[in-house]
Amino acid sequence: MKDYFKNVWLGVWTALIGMRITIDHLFRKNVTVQYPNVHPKDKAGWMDMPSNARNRLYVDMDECNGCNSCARACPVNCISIETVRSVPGDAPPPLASGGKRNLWVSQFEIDFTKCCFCSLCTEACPTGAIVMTTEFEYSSYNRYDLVYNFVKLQNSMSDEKIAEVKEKWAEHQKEKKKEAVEPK
Amino acid sequence: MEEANFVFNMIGENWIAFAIISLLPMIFLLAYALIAILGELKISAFIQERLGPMRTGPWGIIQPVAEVVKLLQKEDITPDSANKPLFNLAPFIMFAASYAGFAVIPFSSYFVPSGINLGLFFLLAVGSLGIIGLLMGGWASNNKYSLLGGLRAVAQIVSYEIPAAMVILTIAVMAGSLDLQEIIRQQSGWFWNWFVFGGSGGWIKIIFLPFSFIMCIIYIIASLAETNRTPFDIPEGESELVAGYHTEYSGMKFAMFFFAEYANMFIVSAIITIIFFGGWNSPFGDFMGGPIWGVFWFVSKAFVFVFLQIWLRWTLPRLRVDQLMYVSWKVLLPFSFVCFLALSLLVMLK
Amino acid sequence: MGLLNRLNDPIGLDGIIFGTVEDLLNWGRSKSDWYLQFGLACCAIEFMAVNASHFDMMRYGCIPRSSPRQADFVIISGTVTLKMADRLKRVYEQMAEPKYVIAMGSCANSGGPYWEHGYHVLKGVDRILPVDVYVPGCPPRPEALQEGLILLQKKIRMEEIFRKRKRLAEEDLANQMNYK
Repeated sequence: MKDYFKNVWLGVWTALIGMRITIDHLFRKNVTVQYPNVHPKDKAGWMDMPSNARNRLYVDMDECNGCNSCARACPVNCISIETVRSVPGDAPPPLASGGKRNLWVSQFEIDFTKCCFCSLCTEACPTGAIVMTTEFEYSSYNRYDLVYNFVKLQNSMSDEKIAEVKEKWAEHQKEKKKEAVEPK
Repeated sequence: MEEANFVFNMIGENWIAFAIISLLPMIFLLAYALIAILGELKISAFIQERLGPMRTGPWGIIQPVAEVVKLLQKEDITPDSANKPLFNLAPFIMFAASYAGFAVIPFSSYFVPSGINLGLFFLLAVGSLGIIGLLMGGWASNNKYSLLGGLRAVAQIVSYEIPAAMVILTIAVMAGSLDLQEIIRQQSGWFWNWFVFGGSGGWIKIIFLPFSFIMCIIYIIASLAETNRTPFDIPEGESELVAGYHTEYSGMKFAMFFFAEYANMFIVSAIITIIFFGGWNSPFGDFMGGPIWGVFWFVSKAFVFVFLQIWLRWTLPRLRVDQLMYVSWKVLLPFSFVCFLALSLLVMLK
Repeated sequence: MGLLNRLNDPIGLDGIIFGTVEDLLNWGRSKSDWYLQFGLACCAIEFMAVNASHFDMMRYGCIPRSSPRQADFVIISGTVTLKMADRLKRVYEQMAEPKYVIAMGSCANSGGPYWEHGYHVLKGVDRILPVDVYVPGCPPRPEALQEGLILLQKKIRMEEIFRKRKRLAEEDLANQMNYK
């Protein structure tokens, strides 16, 4: 009997305690950060984005030497690189940081629908061309808009240029073969 | 009590007057539903230190309008295996039952849609009619979650009708009448004449104050259960039954259920206001008295209890089925019996 | 497309009457999006964060519904396994029109890390459902999901209701002419 009344009293009392807590919170300042108006890059209080945040990848095509390390490091194979070797005497322009370049990078595609933002590619990159940025707003209505071809995006090589270097390399190969078949 | 209706006084007792009288609560109800839905969204948000709807109008104040426009456009699905006549009828029965309750709610001393002298009894009877629509919807959907929700709702509402009826019986004894206007008139004057403070007259009532308080709390708890509000929302418990009895309803039919739930919330708040908190009476004697201020007092008191329901919803977790039955049969019912006896004694002593 | 331009042709489908009604209907649907709770994997954690106080999805008028009948769109947050794909399709088919889909995270977009060797994973949820917005990320930041939500609302706002019928009728007529 005593337990029964104690139980009933506890039921009412704990409900009242809960109500006191919620009414207390009702008049507190809210913590919501209104995203489109307050952007995380604006250093808006607690949720500003750290500088090492791992979001969309960026490839500086002036720095990329087409070594394919990033594609090999990628655990999900979302990077596909196509390169064309340059013929002697027609080397691509050197890297922006000054290194030598032997390959024309004709295609550098990253499929962001597959990317898992692990940052392994940035560690594998010898020239620091591929980096993680803080840009995260790139939702799209179409899945194929999320496949980024950085060669096209940065216009580092035009289509004509790609065709030209491919032809040059094919010719070079042919000449080499000829040389192999008919030695001097 | 026909003379106590301002519409009849103004344009006489003809069919236009009847049409106006039956539509006035509807207009009020539509306005109330918009306010209550926004209130629910905003209060829930503020309790959780959020902001609630912000991007629909300034501070999201026209969010309910958007919801209505959206629900009007939604596809109206009737499941193939459902019992179609019952499935389509259920929301309308549910809404009709809750709207019928408005027939006797006295908004002011000069406005009550139908001044029958069995008002309290009528409210009790009509208030439990809604579960027919609820069970009908749950059964006709041909969905196991709906059926379970409907059955749970019936078990819950039937159980909680009994403590609620005991409270109403006590009020009938204290007021000596079932007429809502008469009950309210007996609580006129200052706020200590309200039935929650033991009714008017006699210092002896101070001894009985705990009993009338407990009675009020019992009715608030029972009314929460009757409107399927948290912590008694096991008929639509989202974690167990997908959405309970309205799982299969979409578009406007779901909106009818939603609307009926909010109408029910107002009805039970109005009953609490009438039987315990003096209806349209001003709490401070003649200060701001009269029929027009009466509407203000009545609606604001009822809104306090609507707020209380929303507040409780965002405070307490859902009860288990066995706990629910325990609360009704083993706690509320004995307590209401004891309080009934005590308050009857008070009526004798006064 | 301002109100004044519509005055030229008040009763046409682009005119002030139909145009404004269409705007109102689209506004209602874009501002009151009820979403179906469909958390599948780790993206669901970010999705929950969006619901919580700091990001507060209800600011956009999004209310959680557990019944697919009452939901307007579904956020597919996580890896859709082949076993779940059946269920997901069924839940989607139970939703009432008009309905929308947001694919959240790499797994829902294209199979993500499992796109090559995942014998058990659906390679992109767009193989079974018409996806409206793709939110990239693994998982996306809460703000990224909110951006996807805003994109979805923009898409709903731009929808054609009356004009679509007219356009389809015209296309139909043109097709018939071509057959002749």
